[in-house]
Amino acid sequence: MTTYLARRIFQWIPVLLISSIIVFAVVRALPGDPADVIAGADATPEVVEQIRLAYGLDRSYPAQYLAWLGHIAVGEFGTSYIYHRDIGELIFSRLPYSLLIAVTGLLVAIAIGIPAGLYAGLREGRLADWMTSFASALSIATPDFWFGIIMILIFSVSLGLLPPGGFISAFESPLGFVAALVMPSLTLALHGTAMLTRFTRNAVIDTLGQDYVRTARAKGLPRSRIVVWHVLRNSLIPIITMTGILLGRMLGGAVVIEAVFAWPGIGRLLIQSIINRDYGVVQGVLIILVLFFLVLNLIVDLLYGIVDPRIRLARENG
Amino acid sequence: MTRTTSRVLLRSAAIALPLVVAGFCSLSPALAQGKSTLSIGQNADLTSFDPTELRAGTYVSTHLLYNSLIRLDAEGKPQPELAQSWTRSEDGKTLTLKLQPNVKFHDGRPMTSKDVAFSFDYAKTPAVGANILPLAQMISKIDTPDDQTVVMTLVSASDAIYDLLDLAFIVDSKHPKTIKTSGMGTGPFKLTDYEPGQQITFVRNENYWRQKPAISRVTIKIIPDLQSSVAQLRAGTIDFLPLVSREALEQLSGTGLKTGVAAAEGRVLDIGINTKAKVFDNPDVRRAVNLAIDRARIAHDVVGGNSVPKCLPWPVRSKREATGMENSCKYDLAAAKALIEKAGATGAQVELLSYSQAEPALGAMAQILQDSLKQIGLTATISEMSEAAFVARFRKSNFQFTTHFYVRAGRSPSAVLLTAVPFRSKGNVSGIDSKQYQDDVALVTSAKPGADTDAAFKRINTFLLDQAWVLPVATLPVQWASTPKLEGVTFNLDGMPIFEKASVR
Repeated sequence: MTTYLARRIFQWIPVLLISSIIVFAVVRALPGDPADVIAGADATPEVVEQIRLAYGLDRSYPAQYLAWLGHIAVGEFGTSYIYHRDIGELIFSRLPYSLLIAVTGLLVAIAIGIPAGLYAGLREGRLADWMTSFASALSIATPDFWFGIIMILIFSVSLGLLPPGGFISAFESPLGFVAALVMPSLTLALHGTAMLTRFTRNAVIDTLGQDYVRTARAKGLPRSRIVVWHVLRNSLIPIITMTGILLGRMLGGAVVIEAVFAWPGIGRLLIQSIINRDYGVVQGVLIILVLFFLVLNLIVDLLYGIVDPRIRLARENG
Repeated sequence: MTRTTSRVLLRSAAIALPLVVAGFCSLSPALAQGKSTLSIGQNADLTSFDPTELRAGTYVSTHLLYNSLIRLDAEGKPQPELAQSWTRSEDGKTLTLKLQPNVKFHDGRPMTSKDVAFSFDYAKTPAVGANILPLAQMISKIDTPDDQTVVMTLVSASDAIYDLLDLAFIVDSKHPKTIKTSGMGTGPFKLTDYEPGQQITFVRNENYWRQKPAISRVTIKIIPDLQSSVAQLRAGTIDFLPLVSREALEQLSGTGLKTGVAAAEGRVLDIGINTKAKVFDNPDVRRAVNLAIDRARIAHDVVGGNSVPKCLPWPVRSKREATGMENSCKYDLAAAKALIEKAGATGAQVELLSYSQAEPALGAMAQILQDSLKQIGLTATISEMSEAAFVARFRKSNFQFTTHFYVRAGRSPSAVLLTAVPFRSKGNVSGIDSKQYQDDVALVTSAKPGADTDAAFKRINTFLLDQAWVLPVATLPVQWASTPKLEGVTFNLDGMPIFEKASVR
């Protein structure tokens, strides 16, 4: 296992290097640069040039890239052109909020999506299956910003039950912390739940047709045991893959939810920094997200081994 | 699960559920906080506390943290602020200011004339990127004979100097490297907590140099989504929104919340035309576009009832500078079509830039104009882009024509000419290069008002209308909304809110 882990982590180095080049190039391919944003439309070209000089933007791209890479290698992200603060601090101050909402959203999606998919899969072609499929399609078609605003109007403006946005520290108010998390998590889970439901349903239907399920039934095993041990467990591989993808999406892609609920996550930081051409922050966030996906992939691969012993054995022998 | 267990669970739920609901119900009033605190919702992120960065993000925080030397009232007349009095030499080129005594920075250090001199030097440094740089360049030298006296030597006698003194905030000269992050000023509130992208907290400056504010704590919450910020105001978790759109005002009408106009002429929508670009290098085509702008419709349908159509760039109160030509713009599609035909431009394809991300009214204005241009024989394609992309193209004159808006439009005509980029007489992005226009702009931005400046303004107005490279369309007022309990908020000429005398009932 240690050798396997070491090999996987070693493979990250070229991936991170290539990613860093792509990220660096893509960010600079955007029209306009931080000096344009700092100076604004009213500034003369001479003023913009002075700003460019002051921030080192006059250097060649390879020089800028190597300087950035050198800093990243020692764990320094540099200083934001726009926030005038350490980029590492900016990113890591936002990351916990994003992780919190992503994990909570994922748990909601798992808690609703997997049982709903299992229920529908076991009743293929029946009313329950149709209704679950309809609900899933409706959820996927529903824009999350609209769902979020409607939730705010109902639960905050009309009923006054939940705070309409922002983060509340658990140390300040434990109840407030939970309340502030409810609507963003449910909104973030909206599409994920629907996707997990459909994935689980299809996986369950596939597994139900397998010989070992037929054998288990023939052996007269109780239905609950067949469903949990033979059907659900063997359906888990695609579900785990989907769950990993969902978590990644929820971490970096919750921009709309973060904007609607004024949630201080990393997605908003990324978008704002793209708008402001804050190169260092964009590069830093994207590299962190790449790293996160790599770790996530590794965890998913390790989970495969736990769920399916054949994969574990193959890995150990390989 | 046994029947007994189920019963126990049901009973527990019956007790716990009302408690949880009661807890949640009590949460919203708790969030509304006490009466001496104020919560402000702001769409733009606050990324810097540098008061020379006069942007949407610093609209609220600047007057909380800093003071300027004077403050212009609604009529544009200077009133004392950090400068308690001032005298101007006969030729208008020397301004001597006496500072208020006992003014201290938030850390307790007394503010002196050295800090004033430093603040203006800082704003004049090009690499700082101050929005007021063109105005700051009106000062050629600052002397500080004693701690309470500032003597400014000016390059001109223009009254635009008062716009500069109103917009230049005094910063701490002892800590130049932390101007962008510390918020160290002499203002009525002190910065206590900054959570980037989330919220910023300020507390009352107990050692404020004049009457202390009634509000003890101000929180700015960053709420990027406009709809969400309106919902938060309605839910009572925020008390004030400094900038709301027409749609939001309509949503808020009848809800019992207060709304108002902070600066009727704070911003102006305009169309910029590149006189060197294909098709538009013919002045008749530019004049045709001017005739094809339905200003009344754009003012009413796009901006709302508080907007008024504009033909010349000067504020409504600047009658003298308008020289009776403020209503010279007509909406006449037949005349516009005739001009297009005369220019041989019928059927020409043109690109219209828009950057609605910065101001949604730009996109709506672009669509109305596109429709009008189609009727006079021009096919306009709207290129929607980010603000940074727009700035990059605009600055390099890489455009045919564009939707645009300029800020600080309610200030003196001299200040508008000096700060708003479309009117620049030298290095103009629209390619305007006229010796007469340069001379006239130099005259009106440097001399005291008189017969010669009146004549120059008449020539400027005629030139603006004849060459039609920048077409003011309609005012874009700065509009606010608040809880009915908030009182005493005032605004500067640009619509920046001032909470020094505000209170929450």
